[in-house]
Amino acid sequence: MVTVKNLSYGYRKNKQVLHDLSFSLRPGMTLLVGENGSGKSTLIKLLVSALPAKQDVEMEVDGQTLRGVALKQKMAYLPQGFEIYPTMKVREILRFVAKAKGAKADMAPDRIREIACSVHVESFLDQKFKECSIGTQRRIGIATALIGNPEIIILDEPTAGVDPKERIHFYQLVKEAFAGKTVLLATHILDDMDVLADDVIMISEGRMAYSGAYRDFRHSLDGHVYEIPTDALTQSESDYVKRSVLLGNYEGDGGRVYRVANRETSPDAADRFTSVKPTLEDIWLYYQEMGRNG
Amino acid sequence: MGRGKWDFRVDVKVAWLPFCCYVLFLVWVVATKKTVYIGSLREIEGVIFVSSDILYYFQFIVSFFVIFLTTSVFAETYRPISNSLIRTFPLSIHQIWSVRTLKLCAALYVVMVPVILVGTAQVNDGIQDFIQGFDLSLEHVVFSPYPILLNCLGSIVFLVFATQALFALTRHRALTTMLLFVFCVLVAGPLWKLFGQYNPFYGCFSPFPIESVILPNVWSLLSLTLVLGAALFFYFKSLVK
Repeated sequence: MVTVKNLSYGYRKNKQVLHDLSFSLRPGMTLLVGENGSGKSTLIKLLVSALPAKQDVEMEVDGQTLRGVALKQKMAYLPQGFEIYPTMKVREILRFVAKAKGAKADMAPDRIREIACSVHVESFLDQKFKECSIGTQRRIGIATALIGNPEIIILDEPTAGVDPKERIHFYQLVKEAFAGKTVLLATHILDDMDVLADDVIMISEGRMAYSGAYRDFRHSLDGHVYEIPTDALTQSESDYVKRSVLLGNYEGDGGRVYRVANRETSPDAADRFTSVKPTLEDIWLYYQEMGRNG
Repeated sequence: MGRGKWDFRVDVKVAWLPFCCYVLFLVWVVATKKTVYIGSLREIEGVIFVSSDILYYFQFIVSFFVIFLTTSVFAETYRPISNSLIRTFPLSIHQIWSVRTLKLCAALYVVMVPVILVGTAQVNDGIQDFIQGFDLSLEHVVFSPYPILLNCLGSIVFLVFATQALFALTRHRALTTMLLFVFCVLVAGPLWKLFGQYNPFYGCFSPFPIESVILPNVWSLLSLTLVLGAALFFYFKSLVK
């Protein structure tokens, strides 16, 4: 179990990007989600010490408080658009990363081949990185993350720019390669959640909007999403709509229809309100809005 | 698993070709005796000034090699995407920056020392020919290699640090290289008078005092190097945990 407590960060003194975030990561896949600009990448970079910070980030790993080099040794990071020494051969890149991580055992040629085999890039070992396809480059990134057998893996939007077919392969590979490890994967692609997530952390404007199991997240609005025809709303109905999160609206047969979510008790005029099955987009919008409003 | 170490083979791999060109250039300069030519030799207020091409070749032209080699070696260190990855490795500032900078300066300077010694001997031959040719009454005019050795060392370390400092600001290899190339050309040309005897390229295009062990511009080069070195150290200290 990995625990992060009271994490705040600002690029400038008076402009906080992350506000007092606390969360736990269990072994398995935790998806870090949020809109563009919500602070996902900042949080990821802060966790992996890729941002200048006055103080080292502290993490509690299995009851032990770690920071700085001790934390780096337990962690691997795969940035969005992994690329390092693109003119060098894949084998040389893997050896470089192994030495940089202090993983002497992983510098041996046999071990490099073994790691490459585990992500199916063994046939590219003697090819230059820049000559590999985007999909292969991402797999090479996974190989570098596996070096040193880290306990915590942090991936920042690893499927950005990858076509849907390649993305499915990538997910399978991520699941296989990082089985049993604590993985935090940042994404803004909703489809990623159904395929990958064991747990979800959602942030909105740098604030925690949701943190918990994906199953709970997925069912958290069951029975709380309604479609409401807007013609002739009573005062109490109107008040209920105002207290709800507006998920969308469309032109229905009898006029405009609002789609709202509200986890309070059901509205009195339940017969005029149609309860609908929440989509992932509904849940996403609901928690983003709740996060924005604190 | 302890702290990581930088694999210097990657630096060799990215820099071997421009480094070979640099060595070939130096060898070509001494092999073709480019430094024998003496433009003028005169005494001004008791100080003998010589106009020689030795600093033009070993300092000014070499500057372009130094800048290019520095950006080659440190390209991935300052490129944003690879920089953010490198910082996540358990490497110390010394591994990422100090040791590599020292090794680069040492590699550039070590090959330069013998060619400067040969070049200095050629300058001395040139001076003797000049004295005999113009039947000058100057005696015991011996050109020492020390000012050239010191000047070239100052110039190399200054340019290695200046290139890195600009690279850290621009995060763009081509832009850094071009800006510094332009800087060198401007300082050697239109901005020459602005710096006077403290010009980084003092002696490359002008006569310089033959008996001075330390040319005046060495002080400005070394002071600037210290400032840039401190700035770079604090830059890396803020990044590398």
